[in-house]
Amino acid sequence: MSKQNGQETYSMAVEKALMSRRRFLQGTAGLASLLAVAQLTAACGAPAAPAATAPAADAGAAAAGPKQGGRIIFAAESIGESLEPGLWNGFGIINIVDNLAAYLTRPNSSGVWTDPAEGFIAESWTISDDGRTYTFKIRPSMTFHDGTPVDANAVVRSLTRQVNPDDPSYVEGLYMHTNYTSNRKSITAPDDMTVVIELESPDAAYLYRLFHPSAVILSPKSLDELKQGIATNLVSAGPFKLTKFTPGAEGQLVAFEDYYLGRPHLDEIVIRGYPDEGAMLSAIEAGEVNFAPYPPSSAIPRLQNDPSKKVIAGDPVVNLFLAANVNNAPLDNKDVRKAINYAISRENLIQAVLYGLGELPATMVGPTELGFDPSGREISKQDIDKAKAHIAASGLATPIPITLTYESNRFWPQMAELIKSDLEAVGFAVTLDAQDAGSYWGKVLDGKAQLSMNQRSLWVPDPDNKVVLLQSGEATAKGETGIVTGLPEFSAKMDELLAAGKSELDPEKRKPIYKEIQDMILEELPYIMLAYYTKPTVMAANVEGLKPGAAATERVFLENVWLN
Amino acid sequence: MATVGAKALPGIDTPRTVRAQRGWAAIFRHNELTLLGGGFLLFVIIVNVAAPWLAPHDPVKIDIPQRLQAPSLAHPFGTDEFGRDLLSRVMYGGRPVLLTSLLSVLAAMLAGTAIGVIAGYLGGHVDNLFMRLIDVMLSFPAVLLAILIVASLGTGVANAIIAITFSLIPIFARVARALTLSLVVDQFVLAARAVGASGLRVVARHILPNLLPPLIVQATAMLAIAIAFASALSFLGLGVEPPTPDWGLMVSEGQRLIYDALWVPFFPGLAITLTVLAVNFLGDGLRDRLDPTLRNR
Repeated sequence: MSKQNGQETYSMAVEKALMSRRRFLQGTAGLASLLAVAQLTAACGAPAAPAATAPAADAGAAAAGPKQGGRIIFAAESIGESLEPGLWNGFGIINIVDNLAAYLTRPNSSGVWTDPAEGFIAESWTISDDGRTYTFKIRPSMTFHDGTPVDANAVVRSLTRQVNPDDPSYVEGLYMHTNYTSNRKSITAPDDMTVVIELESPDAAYLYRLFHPSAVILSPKSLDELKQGIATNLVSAGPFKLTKFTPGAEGQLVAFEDYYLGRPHLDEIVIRGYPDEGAMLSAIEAGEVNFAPYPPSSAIPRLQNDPSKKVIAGDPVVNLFLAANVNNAPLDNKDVRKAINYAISRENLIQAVLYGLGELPATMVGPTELGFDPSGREISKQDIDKAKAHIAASGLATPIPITLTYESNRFWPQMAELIKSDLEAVGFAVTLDAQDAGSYWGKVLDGKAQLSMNQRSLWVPDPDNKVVLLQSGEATAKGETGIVTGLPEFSAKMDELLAAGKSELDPEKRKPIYKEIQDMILEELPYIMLAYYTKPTVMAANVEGLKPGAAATERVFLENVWLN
Repeated sequence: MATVGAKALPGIDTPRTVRAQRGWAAIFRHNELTLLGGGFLLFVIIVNVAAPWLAPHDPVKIDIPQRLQAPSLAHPFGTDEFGRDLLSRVMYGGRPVLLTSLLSVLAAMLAGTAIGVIAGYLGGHVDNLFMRLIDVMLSFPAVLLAILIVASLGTGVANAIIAITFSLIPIFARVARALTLSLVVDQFVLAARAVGASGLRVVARHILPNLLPPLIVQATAMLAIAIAFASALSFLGLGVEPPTPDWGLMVSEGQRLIYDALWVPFFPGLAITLTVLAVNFLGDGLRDRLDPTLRNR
């Protein structure tokens, strides 16, 4: 009897100790309620998001001189699977490449992106009178991260390997090299310290093209040893060298002690992918990262008032636009394209999605670029009456079905939602088609999208960099807008103007050419501009040395950055 | 004895109380959480069905000057970054979630029960074949299976229903099979077969009615999971298309604003949480009523 009682007592004790399902549910409900009330009370007490403007801060001002040491944890948009710069693998890969790379030239140290290029591996150069022949003198005593010397042969090897199937590093499908190879007639090394590049026709932007990410100069020894393995290990001669690359996750770089300008200030950079904006924001808030060049726009007004953070924003050099595939009905109808253009409220996009970090656009040539024509801004103003008139003139029955394709990351889904609302208000029926980055480009460049949404940054600081999307040899002209087959006369005329604009070396004579190009774009609207985006960068308050202009594009060089 | 008949002593069931407990109304009697859960679920369904008449604003109307307004009398749940009234969006936002979860649980219950009964009743190779297929389906985590199916079929409510249905079928099939196996050897089933009842008649008249109560309990438990699944699919952008209000999608869109305008993800998140909890409370009460051996566990 006493044994039985003991067992019962034990069972009761176990029953008490174990949480019943009912008690668990009760507890969960209670806890959730408490947390909810506490959080919401706190949130409602907080001020609403302030006016969305991000004045450029001078990040370069520091009381004391640069300090040595420290680590930057860099929140990239995402990290691709391969470091091969001849392929597009996302901005995160570009961020890694730019900080380990040595190019023949580099952006101007003023931080103003459109200022003349400066020498990097090239110590000096001369340009022939006809503008076709560039002779570069290689900087002596530069070494790659593996200790081998930087010489003319290394430059020639690196700038030809992407078009040479016999090179051991070659992989099928490399295409980003066209920036500096499409107009190149020859490249030779008459001696160890001289490189001669001959062009088919003059190119006003060629010195800029030589610091395109795909033009990174790599150690020939590493190309021979790693072969296609350079996809996970690039050996160049830049300020930082790669110590570890985890595809899809992060790259780790450390200061290169033998860098020709002396060891950079930082000890280490970790460039980590945060494809989810919420996760990135949490990492910024928690101090898990101290450098974020792709922060959610919604957080910028608050972060500007956070004393532990610093926000800088440069010029609005990033174009946000819709591309209309003129081969796919109903976008083959010019009135439909014009109706779309007039239906969209750019003011709403800039205010509600970009939180004020943008400007009303004109055309593909941006406000900081040569040949910018502000008169194009008139056509970017919403005009519902004109939109409806063009719908009527199109002769199509409403609602006109149309599919908008866009990447499912960053601010694109919010953009798409607003655009859908605007278009449906004037007589379209919009289907939203969100794609991951890889699928997006596959679909768009295959010409399978109707209306797609995209951006173009100023990697090569020349007006040609953006309008070249309409050059008939580009995949964008064939697939994204389809003008090569859809608007053949327009395409042929555009090719003539693009060639003329690129080969004209006198800036004053280039301006009317780009004016004509912009007028043509506004007339046919293969691209419908949405905004000139001012890309903000958030960093910890002790990060110094990054000039606002240098943060304006996705090319983020941390060579002169230090931690205070 | 007369006292016992007039007023039940604690712990003693009179014939009257036993009869009362057998009624469905007894599920809610003396069980406040079940009453609360059932009541809240009914409230949610009514609000969502009647949203066009009850919602104070158009849930998709964009009003940029009113964006990110904190909760106030004009907008009790605040507004989102496009100035849309969040109360109205939450009132409409349960529609796709409830539709998806209810239909998918119903479909999964029908399909799973059919599979389980056939396997359990026929046994042998049929049982083996069906159960191995179910094992394969169970080897995938249910959420992953649902995501894979939607990713293959494309987004939208219809595909979400298919995906969630497939992920829930194995659970119903397992339950139905186990119960059928125990029922086919019960005396009343053997007696029915002995008097010449066909297999179809035995299943329809003697097995299915006895499966119903435990399957209803299972369906209630699965409904909570289905609501969470449907919300998760929408959160991942695999459900309805914006700007259609949907709780999961609203949480997803609002997560960037969690530090700046918490109310944007908070209210749809709260709606999901409370609805799932309500269904769980209701399921708990149903289980107590239909399986008293588990009461207080």
